[in-house]
Amino acid sequence: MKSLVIIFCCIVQLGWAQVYTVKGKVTDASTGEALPYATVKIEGQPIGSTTGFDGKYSVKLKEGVYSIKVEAFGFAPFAEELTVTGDVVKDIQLTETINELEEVVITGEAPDKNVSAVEMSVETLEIEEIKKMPAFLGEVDVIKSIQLLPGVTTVGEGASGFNVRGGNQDQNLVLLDDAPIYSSSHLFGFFSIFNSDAVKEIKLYKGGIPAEYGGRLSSVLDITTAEGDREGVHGKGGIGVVSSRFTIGGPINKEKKKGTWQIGARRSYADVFLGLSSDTTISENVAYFYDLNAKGSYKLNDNNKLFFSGYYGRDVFAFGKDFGFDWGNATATTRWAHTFNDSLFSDVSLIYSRYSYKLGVPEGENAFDWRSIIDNFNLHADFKWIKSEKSKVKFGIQMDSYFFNPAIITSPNNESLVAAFNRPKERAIQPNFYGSHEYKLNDKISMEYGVRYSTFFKMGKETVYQYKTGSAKYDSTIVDSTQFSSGEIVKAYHGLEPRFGIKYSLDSVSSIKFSYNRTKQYIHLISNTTGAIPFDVWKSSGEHIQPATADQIAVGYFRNMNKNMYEFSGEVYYKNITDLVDYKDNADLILAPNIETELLTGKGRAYGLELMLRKKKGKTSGWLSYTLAKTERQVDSDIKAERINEGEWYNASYDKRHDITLVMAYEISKRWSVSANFTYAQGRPITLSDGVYEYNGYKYQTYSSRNSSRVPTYHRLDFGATLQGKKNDLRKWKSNWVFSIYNVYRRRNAFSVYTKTEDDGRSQDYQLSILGTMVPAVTYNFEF
Amino acid sequence: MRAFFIIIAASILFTSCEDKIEVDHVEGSVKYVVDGRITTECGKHVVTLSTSDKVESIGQTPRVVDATVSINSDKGEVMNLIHIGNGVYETMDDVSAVIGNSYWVEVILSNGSVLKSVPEKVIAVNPIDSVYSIPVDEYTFVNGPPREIDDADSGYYVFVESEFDFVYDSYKWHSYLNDSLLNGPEQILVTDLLFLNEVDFNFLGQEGDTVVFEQLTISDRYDAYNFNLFITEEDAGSPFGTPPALPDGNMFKEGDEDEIVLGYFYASDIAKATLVVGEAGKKPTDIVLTCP
Repeated sequence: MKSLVIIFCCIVQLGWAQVYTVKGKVTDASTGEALPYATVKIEGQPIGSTTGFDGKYSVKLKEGVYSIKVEAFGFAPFAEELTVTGDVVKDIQLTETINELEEVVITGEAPDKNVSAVEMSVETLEIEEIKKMPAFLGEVDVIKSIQLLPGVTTVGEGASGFNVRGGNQDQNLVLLDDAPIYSSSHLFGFFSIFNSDAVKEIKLYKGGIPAEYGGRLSSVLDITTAEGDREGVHGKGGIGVVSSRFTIGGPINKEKKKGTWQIGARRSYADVFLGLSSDTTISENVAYFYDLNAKGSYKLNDNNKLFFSGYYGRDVFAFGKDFGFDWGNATATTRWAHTFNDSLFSDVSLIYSRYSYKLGVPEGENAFDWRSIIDNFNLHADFKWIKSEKSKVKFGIQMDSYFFNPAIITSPNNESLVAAFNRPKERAIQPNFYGSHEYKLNDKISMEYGVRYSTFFKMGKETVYQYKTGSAKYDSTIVDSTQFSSGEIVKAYHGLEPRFGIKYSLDSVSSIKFSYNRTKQYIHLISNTTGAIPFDVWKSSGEHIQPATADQIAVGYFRNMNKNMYEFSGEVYYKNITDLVDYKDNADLILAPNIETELLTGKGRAYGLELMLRKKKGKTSGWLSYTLAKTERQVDSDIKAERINEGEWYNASYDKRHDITLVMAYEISKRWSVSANFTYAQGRPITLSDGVYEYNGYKYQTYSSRNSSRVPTYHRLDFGATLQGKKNDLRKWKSNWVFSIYNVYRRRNAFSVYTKTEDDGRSQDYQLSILGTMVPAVTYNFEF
Repeated sequence: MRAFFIIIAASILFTSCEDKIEVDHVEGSVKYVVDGRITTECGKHVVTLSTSDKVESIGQTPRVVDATVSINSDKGEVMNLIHIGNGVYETMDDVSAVIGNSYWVEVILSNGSVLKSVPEKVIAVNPIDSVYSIPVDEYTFVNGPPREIDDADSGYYVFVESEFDFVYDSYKWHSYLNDSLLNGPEQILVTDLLFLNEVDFNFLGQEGDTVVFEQLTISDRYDAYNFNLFITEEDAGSPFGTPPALPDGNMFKEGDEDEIVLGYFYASDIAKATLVVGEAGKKPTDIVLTCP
């Protein structure tokens, strides 16, 4: 440990030489919007920079004449001579090249960040790249797009959420402008909650998670929404078969470039068609979703800028007067970006996130209202200190608070026979501290190391039950209880989460990388259904539910070819998870008065190989990926009732040994482009019956081993085509038609296979396919 | 309440399709199955013994015909059962359970193995409030037809009503129409009264039909067993279903608790009500149940 401290001090001291600062901001020339992650290079010098979230960069140079070069994906490279005799402010505007892709074929030099940066196991998708992919029912979908990436799986079509490198769905930290999202799906998983016109960029960390992120074990999906146009009011939208969307934005005080605003909305309209039916059993039904996005920025002065981002979305279903339900997220993020000096920056964010659902029967003797709410208030202060281009330090403090109100059940009228009932509320606070240092040791070796110290306090009011030692937890084995009053600490946890990554450049186009990260998760999605449902309950760690801990190591080889036109990556990883929440057979997670009596604690392991060949530029773009993976769980105990599969390792329900994906887009002409996705994956594990027995005069199936069988192999081809409107630079209105066919050859992919006992006592096997046919769609998109 | 979650899940499958297929099933180990009960009603009580069979098997599952079976109570009673054929064992005399006592079954197999049930205590049941019928054409619809009945042109709506005081939660009901049990596994009428404070059941009968209605108290464990039996079959394959699993019964093999024994033996207090459709119903308290 002592030597580690000495090395750390030496590394930090290496960057202290006195030099001049060249700083500025990189923006989109057409919109004035900041361009994050643009690369800034000084030719002939072993230094460079990457712009931050606000588009700002800063490099330290000695006096001299240099050539500065700036590159960003989708923009023409910028190069200019720069004379440094003192501190220099150099703002740079890049010109978009989206419509001239064919002109930049081969000649453009793509960023080589995948090779040169320390970070690994990271996938970045530009929204324009996602929009090229064929979309289910014409809805450009962020979540479905990332499911095409290596290491990302799902239990099947129509299932919400995703699984990353063997992690459960709740192990993904989904952030929308820093606000946590608890359910990322509309319509039970058919669509994501993210309006593609409002999204700017998606970044998925599958491993090597930076220290500033925490709270989930397996991944971070960081979604950044777009800012409004600085140069004028512009809008865009689309009309599709399922929904329509519209987004408009513009500048605030255009002359002084004080800021921007943007608002967007989307709504589905199946309910409109239902209402046209003459059959009242259909016309009285309601089924739709909608979401609203808003974003604004305001420049107070050169050193202070405010950002605001908000989201509100809901799904609403009602089956006449029989019953109805709705659910959705609401988020608000306010961020104050402050520049202390040329090298020290801060972001202070106040974040609110709510996930709630409501279901009920409005009339009659069964009338009831059931509401459930999760509230999240977070205050984050993040700092970035760019000591030099070789040495960057990030540190911060993050205070997260949780309020869980799992069930408030009321009778809406006097006729109702339903008695009012509340599940106990839960409160918790989670202060986190982190620090990390990115350091470029020499031309070949760069590293980033850091640590996150997370703490978690479960707060009263709460009654904690003690169970008979040596017995399984049942209501009947409760032997004592402890009352905690409001504000009293019920249980406290803490832990260090080290993060480490290192890159060794083999040459200018290839590198090998290694990363290790430990993550801890203090809140858990309590769900034992195959696919997550909107009515699943989140629960905090406490006396009977331990925080889960994951350790992941990954090693990768990265190589770019043909002047960065092709990217190849190969990664192997191993992840070990402890204190993983699992479920007893037949667990009742909705109504059990003491949820811990339905839960078990186990461990998990996941390991695999991910290969990816990607082409980012040119007439043809896309990727081919292959994943070889294994994901297992083990729940063992001396108590029989607290074992699964007799304590042996068993397959997680989303384990897929082989997964091949091909994503391609091809520009036929200036007006026509086509795209296709092909996926081939091993079927997911299921529990299949292994016998029958009779009880009470009826036959039932027997089951012995959880997840020991599999559904048949999954494969699917999607096709898309885009027809751009005739190009006319004088006309503001631009449009295109997007045609898509999902599941081109009408493959009936099995979501599940199961056996039922027929009326005559025979057993019959069935296969359930969620989408058993081809789904064509057309969407008209426009912008002005 | 649970039904709403099932309906919600079912409603999501509007885009799905279900195909009959053939799958190779791994053959599980053969397991013993015990199916029996004792109630406070005076009479012969039975226990059926069988074993599990292959998934592809057709017809009745294999029966166990050479076991020694007894029902025991915590008051020292031992009621021996005799095999009357086809794996069915019957008490030798008319017997009835006593409220407050606990009962369990003991099965000694021909190989010497002993299967036992976890004792179940008999909890007093609430009386049934009323059983009555109303001609369809005389029924005044307030909110449409009675719950759970399709609209009808003729016959009688039969109503059974009970109120509860939250003293006890778990009940089971059996409805017989002309000696035929109306509620099968697809509609096992088992309710834990966590939320409901009264229940009513309605069905359609014709004049002269005999209706028998039984209301039994059951343990929370048997309530969960029935629910899981139902939901495993009903939810099979659903995207929102839980992984199928054997319901947690109360049978075990003595000396080897890792071996799975299927089925359940339960003990209940029972209230009964009868009605000849079109006539006034007998009050439940008029029916003598216990042995003299």
